[in-house]
Amino acid sequence: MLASKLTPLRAAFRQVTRPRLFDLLDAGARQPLTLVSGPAGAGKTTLLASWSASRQPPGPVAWLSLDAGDNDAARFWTYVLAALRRSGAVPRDSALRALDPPPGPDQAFLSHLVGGLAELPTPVVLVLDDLHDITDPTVLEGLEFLLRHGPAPLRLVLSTRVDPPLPLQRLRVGGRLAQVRAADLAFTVAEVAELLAECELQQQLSEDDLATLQARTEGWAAGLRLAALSLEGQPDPHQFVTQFAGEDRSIADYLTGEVLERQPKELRDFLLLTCVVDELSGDLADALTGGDDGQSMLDRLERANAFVAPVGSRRGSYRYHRLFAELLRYELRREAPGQAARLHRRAAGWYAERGLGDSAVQQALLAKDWRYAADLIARDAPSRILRGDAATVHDQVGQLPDELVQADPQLALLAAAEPHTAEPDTAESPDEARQDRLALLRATLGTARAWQAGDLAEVMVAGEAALALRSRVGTGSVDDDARAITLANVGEAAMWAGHLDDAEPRLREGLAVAGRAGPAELELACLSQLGLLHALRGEREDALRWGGSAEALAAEHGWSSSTQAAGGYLAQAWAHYHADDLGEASGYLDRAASASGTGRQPMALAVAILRARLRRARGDLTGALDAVAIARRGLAGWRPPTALWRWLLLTEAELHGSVGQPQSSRALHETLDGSGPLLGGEAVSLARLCLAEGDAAGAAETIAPCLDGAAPGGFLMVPAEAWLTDALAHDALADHDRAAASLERALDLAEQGGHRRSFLDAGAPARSLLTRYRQRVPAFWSYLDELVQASAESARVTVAAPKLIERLTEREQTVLRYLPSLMTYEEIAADLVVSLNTVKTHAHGIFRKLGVTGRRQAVRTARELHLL
Amino acid sequence: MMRNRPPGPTVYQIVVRGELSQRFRPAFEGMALVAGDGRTVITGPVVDQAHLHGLLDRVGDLGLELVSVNPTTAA
Repeated sequence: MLASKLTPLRAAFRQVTRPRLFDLLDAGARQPLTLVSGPAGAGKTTLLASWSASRQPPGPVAWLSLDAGDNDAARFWTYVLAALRRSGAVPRDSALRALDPPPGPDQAFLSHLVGGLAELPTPVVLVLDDLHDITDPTVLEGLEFLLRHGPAPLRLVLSTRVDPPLPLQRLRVGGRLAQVRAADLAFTVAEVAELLAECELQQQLSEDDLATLQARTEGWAAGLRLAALSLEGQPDPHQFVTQFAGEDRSIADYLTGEVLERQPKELRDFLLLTCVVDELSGDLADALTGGDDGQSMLDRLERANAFVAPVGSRRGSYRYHRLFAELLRYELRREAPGQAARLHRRAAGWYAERGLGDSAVQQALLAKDWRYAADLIARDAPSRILRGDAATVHDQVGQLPDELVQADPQLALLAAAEPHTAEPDTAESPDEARQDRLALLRATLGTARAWQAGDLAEVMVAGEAALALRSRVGTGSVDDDARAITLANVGEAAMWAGHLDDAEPRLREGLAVAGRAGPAELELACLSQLGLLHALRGEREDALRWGGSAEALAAEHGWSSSTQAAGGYLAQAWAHYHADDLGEASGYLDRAASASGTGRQPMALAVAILRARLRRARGDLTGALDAVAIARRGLAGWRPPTALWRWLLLTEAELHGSVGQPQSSRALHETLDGSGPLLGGEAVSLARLCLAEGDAAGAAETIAPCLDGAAPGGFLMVPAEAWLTDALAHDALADHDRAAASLERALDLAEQGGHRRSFLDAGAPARSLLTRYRQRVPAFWSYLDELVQASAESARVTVAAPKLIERLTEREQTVLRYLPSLMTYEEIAADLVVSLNTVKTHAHGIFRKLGVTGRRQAVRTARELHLL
Repeated sequence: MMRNRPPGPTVYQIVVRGELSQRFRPAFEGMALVAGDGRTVITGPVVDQAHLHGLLDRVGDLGLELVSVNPTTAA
């Protein structure tokens, strides 16, 4: 669906090169805005498409074909971003990569968009074709905002039948608006000659004939195209022109008749039967005509340069020129009233069979087959709503007759599907199966609302109810889709609530359902969360495996910066952190941060907590405190899921302890107790706080339930850490045998699981413990020596955080932004239009100033210094 | 100084350039098409502004040139 909106229609007809108009557009593309306005069929799209394909535009062209369905701010800006990314103007590290429009109007989003555009390294031409179809005030206000702030690289080109309600006068006065209007678009006599050059009979037309044609059509492109088609096979072209000129009939009317009458019957029938859909394939044509020669007819039409144009780069997909489709549809209604509805119904069935819900609903509505349309809408509604697209459902139901909606409780419920609408009281249905479906729909809506409100407890309740009902209601492929989303949502909610063991089977099942039936984005979501779940349990190998799969799947689909990918990065960041590979951890954490965004959501908070741990590991305690403080401000009154909230409190308490402002562990314990029993990982943190206060007995008591597995794990219940804490506690209690035994256990677990960081984070007391008990753990001498050395180094490193030797120049900063990409120096040079040597010189300058020797290291250090 | 509108639809005359045949009648359902003198007068009841704009959009969709739009005084 998307591809056809983001690529211009390939020309259906012979191209006429129109240098005078290219010149106007070239001049326009040096301005912020170019307005191309003219009536239907004036040749706006054709002109812009051929100009875009020429080498003339000052930068990559992002193309978006608009239609009446785009009157929704979120959808409109999603398409705009997709078009920009597709154009090649947006580098990998641009803010525009990760930007995602929120549902509904949002000033912050627009500001980010403007900011991202302003930073683009090259100009980009954004063509919005058929802007007259956009009437939604929010979308138009957004465009106005974009124009008012006019980020320099953006060159907006609007094509429209009517002048848009934008502040054009102000731009015109400032000389910042270029216009190509109907009079410019009109074909000149010379252009008419070129247009007809392909026509065999053109030689038989005199200069006067061409001038007559031009005058009669007033250079109207569509009229000239129709005239060219009518001329094919005319015994006397001159006679035809003369007659046409003498006609008082409307041009479109006269020529449509001429053209259609000239077609062989089978072609004429084919045109009339297939004009009811917007996009046509051979197979769909067959479904409409009941024949089997759809593909060959379309090929024939394309070869004859008549009526249809191939869509985008896909083979076998065609579109009628809009004006012709319109003319054909009226012809169909005139010749066979009632036939159009039957054709729409056939098209709806064809789309529905192929799972193309949107098009199926649209065609069923056009067919006025309300019952069928209602069934199609209801079938796709749950997965739509769960994806946060309740607005479309609402809109679709709104097109059904009121009586039908009122009489059907399921539709009445969907009519109120918008998350902010209260649920209507619906009559109980006597039919049990229908009642189940209704309950399922209600639970589904409940899940979506709870998710939107950030109420994860309610997500679990409503989601589990939906899952239970779903097994009773029966399944289909669309149903599976909703089931996979529900499983992913419930799994994620359970994970953030700290119920890792409940979350795992849900996510695994979600993965299986998504892998079998569903879209890859759900698979990605499940893989990411599974990776993170293992990371939160401290299971490094599994975290790397699942997280790595998520990363690979995201890369394969070009979703590397999507929110769904964030969990996979964070999982790997934790895994590397545990193993004390801080550079890798930092790299993955940055990717998680940019994919997850900021603000009131669990992932952002989890990212901040690891950020704090990483900074503390580097000895940057102030930075660590900053990270949690910023995260706390980002919550803005939102209460995160309990386990996550407690994790934040404990992280803060440990950090305050490290800077010599200990909080009372008892008070903290009481706070935590108020929101439920202590989980394993929390007990370990709390025990460490007790130790820091000198309360060894309290520490030993707190840690005990974690060691025998009596307490549920929760976040970061790393067994090596628990045993180490136990060893420290019993050492302080002078129970040396117990301390030695626990230390041995901790060493064994840490070596097996790759948890060096557990010892390093425990700092000087752990180093002292290791040194003093060395004789008692001979089996681990080499590992123990390694740890002692690393711990001592880590204590020194805290002073020597990386720093920038000298400021980077502007050119160096530009080159630096390319370094994380996979582009070679040659490719970077080509992209920046400089020589290879220049890029190499800048790269070496960057290395020197960062104090590194290679590209990979430079990226890592630059990230640590927040230069990237 | 608001005058009460007469109840019911207003009859509008929409004039487009060129003579339209019956071909385009379905595009203007419920309206009378009278062609002559190089133009076509589309006459009929228009219930409200949305209806009127819908008709004008159709004129645009078909690539017709709009000459004038006038409400006729109720008989």
